[in-house]
Amino acid sequence: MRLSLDTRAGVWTVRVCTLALLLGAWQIYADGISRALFAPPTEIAESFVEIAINDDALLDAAVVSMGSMLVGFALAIGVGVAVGVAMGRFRILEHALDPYVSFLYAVPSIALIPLLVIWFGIDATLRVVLVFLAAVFPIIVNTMAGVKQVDGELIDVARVNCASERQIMRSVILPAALPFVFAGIQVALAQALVGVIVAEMTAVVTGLGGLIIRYAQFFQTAKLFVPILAVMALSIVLTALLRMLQRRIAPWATVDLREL
Amino acid sequence: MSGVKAPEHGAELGLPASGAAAPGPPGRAAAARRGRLTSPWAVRLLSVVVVTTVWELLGRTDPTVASYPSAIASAAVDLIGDGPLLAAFADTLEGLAVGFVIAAVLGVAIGYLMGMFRLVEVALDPYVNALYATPRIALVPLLVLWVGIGFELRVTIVVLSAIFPIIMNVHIGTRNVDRDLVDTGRAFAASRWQLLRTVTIPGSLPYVFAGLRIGTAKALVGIIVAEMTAAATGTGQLLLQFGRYFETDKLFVPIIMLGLLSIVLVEAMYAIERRAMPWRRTER
Amino acid sequence: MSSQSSADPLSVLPVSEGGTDPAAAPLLQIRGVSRTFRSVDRKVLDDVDLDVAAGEFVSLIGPSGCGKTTLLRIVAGLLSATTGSVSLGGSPSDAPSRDKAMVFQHFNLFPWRTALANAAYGLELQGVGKRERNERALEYLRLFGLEEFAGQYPGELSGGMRQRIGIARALAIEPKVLLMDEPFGALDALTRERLQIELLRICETTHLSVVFVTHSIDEAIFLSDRIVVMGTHPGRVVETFDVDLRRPRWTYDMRAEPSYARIRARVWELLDHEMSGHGGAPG
Repeated sequence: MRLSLDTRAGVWTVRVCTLALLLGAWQIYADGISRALFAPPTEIAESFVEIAINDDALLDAAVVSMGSMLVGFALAIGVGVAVGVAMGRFRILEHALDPYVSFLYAVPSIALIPLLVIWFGIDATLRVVLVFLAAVFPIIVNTMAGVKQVDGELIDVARVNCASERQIMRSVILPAALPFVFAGIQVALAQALVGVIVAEMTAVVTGLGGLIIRYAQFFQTAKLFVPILAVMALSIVLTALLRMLQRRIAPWATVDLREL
Repeated sequence: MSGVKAPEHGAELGLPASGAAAPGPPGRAAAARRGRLTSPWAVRLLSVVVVTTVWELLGRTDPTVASYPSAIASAAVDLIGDGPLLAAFADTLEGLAVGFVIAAVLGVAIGYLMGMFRLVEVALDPYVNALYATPRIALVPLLVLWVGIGFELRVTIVVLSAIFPIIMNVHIGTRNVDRDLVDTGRAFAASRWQLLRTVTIPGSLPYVFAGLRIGTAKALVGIIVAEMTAAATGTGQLLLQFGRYFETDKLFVPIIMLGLLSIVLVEAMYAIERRAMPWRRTER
Repeated sequence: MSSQSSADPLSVLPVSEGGTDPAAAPLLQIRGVSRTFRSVDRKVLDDVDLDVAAGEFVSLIGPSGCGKTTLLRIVAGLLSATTGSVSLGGSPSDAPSRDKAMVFQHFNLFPWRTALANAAYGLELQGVGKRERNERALEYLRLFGLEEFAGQYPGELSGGMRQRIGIARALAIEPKVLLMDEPFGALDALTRERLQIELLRICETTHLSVVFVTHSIDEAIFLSDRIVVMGTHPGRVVETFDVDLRRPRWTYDMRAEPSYARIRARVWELLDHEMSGHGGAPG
């Protein structure tokens, strides 16, 4: 009986098998060659129990990281959408600001860390600021693109109906631009996560990034995997949550950027 | 025509639907209506002049904070002239180029394999997505353990940064080839490989290039991450060094140059794309 | 369209003998073809029988949803029939082959190929060498007066030109049967009329068999030897008409002929019945 790859059962069988193969090979290799370099999955599992369940260290770190990230992310959405809409709607503003937006969007956010350290020192504010800077530009750029592509004729309909600027914004521009805004926010989420981890691994050594650095410094390879996998898991979960939230708010505007 | 369009996959990693890292084309028609005073370049120029002037004036009051343009300019001259900047840049570019080429070749190959063979797609998909979702910097300590801290490490980080958007975009590209064109190939009795060669690959090129463009930007981030966390050379190291000694005027120079480099690289990819797809010039 | 070149462009076409010989075995035989779509659980085609003789021009006409496009795609080999068979020249033909060529409503030219490369596509797939296939493809472009556009991309050309290239592409492999899916549906009325005449000219010379799907009664009458009216729910053949208007049809106004009015009225009546008798507004 051939298992078809088009059924859920078929798909999951393949995936479970590849995972099992991968973990198996990993376990054998790590046990045999070098435990220091390649912690076997069993040890990683033990470490997980130790850090997350016995000790709460993982949860505390995650809360710290997520706290800063969400603050910075929320600020980025607020400022980003406002600026993006303004730039999209008013050509003069767009031309005045776009050299800076383009430029700052192009600079890798990690490159700004030394400068930010000079300005903010090594504390919580730095993390929020870096998250903000990492997340705000994708939102501005995508929001602006979304506003600019709104069909001029739809705006004309509103104007002919004597709509005020605010009414035009609310009834035509924002809904029409929403798919782009959502796409920008999805991108910004990934960037925000990168931002907080970068800040924690290079400047303010706390949270999940801090855990990574700490375990790395002491060559605790098995433990090292735990916060890394936690970051991976958080990223996947948060992205899924965001998409769900977007679908709740406006299902027609939600684009699955991966479509897979 | 519906007023709502879906953003193209170029928006996937922050590139707007108008398709450029820099915002859209100048509103020529609008400018013509309103006269030259409000033309885009005039506004931009004015804006930059104003900001530069304000920066210069405020900066002089406390140079350590954000320096000021003239100091930055002279620092730039020093650093480029007989300073370490060009050497550092060369190191950065070397790591970037090698890593990107490897990522491009592997990424395109894997992307097409995933598009052509359902088994490969199903098996690899979770890992591609999981690694794509992980900030690469989090992997650096592991990579240092496995690969050491030499050139190999930097290249590995660049490859890991750039390869996933490439794989994903190529994969999506193979799925998004116009169904009608695939049917046309089939109607002419094309074999599976002929379909791949004559329809799927040319039809997916726009996505391939979108992926490569995003990959370029990510590769640059990757090399800087590598240099700032685990390397002894390169622009990243200069950033750390200048920051450590509070040399704010020098610090701005590599930052600005990195920004410019990023823009240049993406524009270069656009140019390559235009040459590779000559039929797109007149489309739509 | 230029037929002013020193050699008649139509001379590139392979000429076959005679017109339709009713006694000869039909070239294309469709027997008992049914097609059910699993997802919709609906019989899109129900037990369709159709014969097409060598050199015969047959039109399929019917309301939306009557399965005419599905039938065409089954003959082309793009879809499989749930039951029944298709044979060409006596042997089974349920996959795409070089004896069958298809022309699509939306042209389906490859945007990344020049006009010439598009026209040469079928030949390329068959392994014909570059120079030869380009020469042959150019001849077919010349048939439509498009040789000076050989190096241009479809994106730069008009709809009428694109469809001519689509037809050239199909003809270039010298098929026995030409399958056309509302090929002129996406064109403006004037271009459509010109292309109909060009198509008939080509058919006069090659005696190609054509299966032509259309929505337009006039088009069907103008072009065909036989009209097959199809119905919906389920898709099936309702009635078949011979069109006994003399050829070549572009040399006179067919609308003045009595048999035109007769056929048209009958087809119209059948279609009207199909469309209204089955739950309201046509698709």
